[in-house]
Amino acid sequence: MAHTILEVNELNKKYAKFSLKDVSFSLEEGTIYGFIGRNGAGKTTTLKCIYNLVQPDSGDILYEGEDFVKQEIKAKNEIGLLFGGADFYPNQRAKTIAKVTSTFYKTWDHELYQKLLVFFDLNEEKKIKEFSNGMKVKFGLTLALSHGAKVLLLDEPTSGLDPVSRDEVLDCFIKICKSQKTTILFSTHVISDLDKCADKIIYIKNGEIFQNSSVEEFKSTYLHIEGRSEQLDRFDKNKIGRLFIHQKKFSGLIERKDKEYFSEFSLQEPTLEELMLFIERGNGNEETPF
Amino acid sequence: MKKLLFKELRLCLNPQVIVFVCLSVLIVIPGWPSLTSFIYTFMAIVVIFPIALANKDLEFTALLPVRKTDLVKGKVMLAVSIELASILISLPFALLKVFVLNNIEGFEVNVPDLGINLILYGIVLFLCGFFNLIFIPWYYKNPFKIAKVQIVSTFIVIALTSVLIVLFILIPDMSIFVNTFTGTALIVQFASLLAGILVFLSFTYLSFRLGAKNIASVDL
Repeated sequence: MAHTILEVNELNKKYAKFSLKDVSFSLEEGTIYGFIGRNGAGKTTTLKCIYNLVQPDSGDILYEGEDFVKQEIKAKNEIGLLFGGADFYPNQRAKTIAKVTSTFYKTWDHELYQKLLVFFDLNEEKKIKEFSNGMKVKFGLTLALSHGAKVLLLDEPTSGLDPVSRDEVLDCFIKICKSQKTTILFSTHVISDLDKCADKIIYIKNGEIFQNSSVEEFKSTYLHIEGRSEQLDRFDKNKIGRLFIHQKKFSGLIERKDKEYFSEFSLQEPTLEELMLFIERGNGNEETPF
Repeated sequence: MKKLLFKELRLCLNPQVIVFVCLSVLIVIPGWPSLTSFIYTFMAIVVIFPIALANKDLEFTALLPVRKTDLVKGKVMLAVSIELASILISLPFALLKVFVLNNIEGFEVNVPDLGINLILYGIVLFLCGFFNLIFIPWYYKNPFKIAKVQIVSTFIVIALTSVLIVLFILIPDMSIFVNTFTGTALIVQFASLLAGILVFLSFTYLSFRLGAKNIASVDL
């Protein structure tokens, strides 16, 4: 059985217009978790609660089986946290920020830091304000990865990156997860990232954990369907979710139990993105101002 | 603690702050109330906080392996460094004024003043401790807002300094007493300095404790 490194138990946090409700999940060693949900669903608040930046109303966080707060410095030394990119001290050189950061970590690996700079094509002599958004993200990741963290909590680590850089980052995640058994929990709105590298999905909806399962399990309930629209007339369209008809073709989602009924169509594994859209928007028929 | 101070000095000091700290050399100006030159010390402290806010210092520090209370500790250490640096920088110029410049004919202006003595430094240390005690706990009630805390704290400490300056002008005997270095007056000199040091240390420690208590309930 995989070793549980971090546990979140019944986390509750109430704000005026939003609350986290009984958020519970656990992270196993050497696993990549995709943390998904709409904007404002509670992803960032959850990550902040884990790192003790936000005080939950109730619930607890266990790191290696012990209360996080009681061993805060040790736990934080072994966890890398990043919100977006390294968007601080715009007038300071990246080198200075890295130098300061390194003094806080006993396990800072300068050689690895230098390798990551080369890998991400970053010039540490540059000031932060001279970095593009993508470079800030890469530099933030460089800092988070250079101290040999056992757990990486990353909030939108791939936003702002071009497709090539994103692919490099995701490759990097897969490699450190395999070679160093690092656990990664990362939130993203680029759901295709998760198709590429996530082992498990933690889905948060309106402050509650909606689903916590492996990617396969998450996808197992539905199938992606597509075909020519004229063929559809003989079938019950109500059995198809998120039905889109465009240029005499259609696509949508069906429940796996209806597989036989729709056997003459092309049926494939759905993407995480379409599943998320289906969960959040249903058939997408809500009223718009237009 | 060393790491926190290194971080503060490396990332949070900027030229504006350094200039303010160095302005304590103005103690050398003839006829200037000696306390005035330390007003810039408080300016230096209130300036570091909005700059830190703009640089997302809080967001950066919170990601490091530190406790929430360390965010306060770092800034208190920076404030103390600024205050002590300001005092130390003023010392050679104070000595220069007392032992060299005041002996030059026409340099000294005869206005009743606190002057340069141990009582001055006792009062400066008291004011620094007092300022820390107002500013730090208040600011950390909501570290994302600074304007009101900055304005009110500066106003209070400047008002207090001004009252002291005016008091010495209105009561010239006080000025004569504090600038006497014999007998009882000398004992008062040392006692004032010691009291200043004790108030500075205790008020600053209290400011950290209260600031740390206040930030504990702040969501970063």
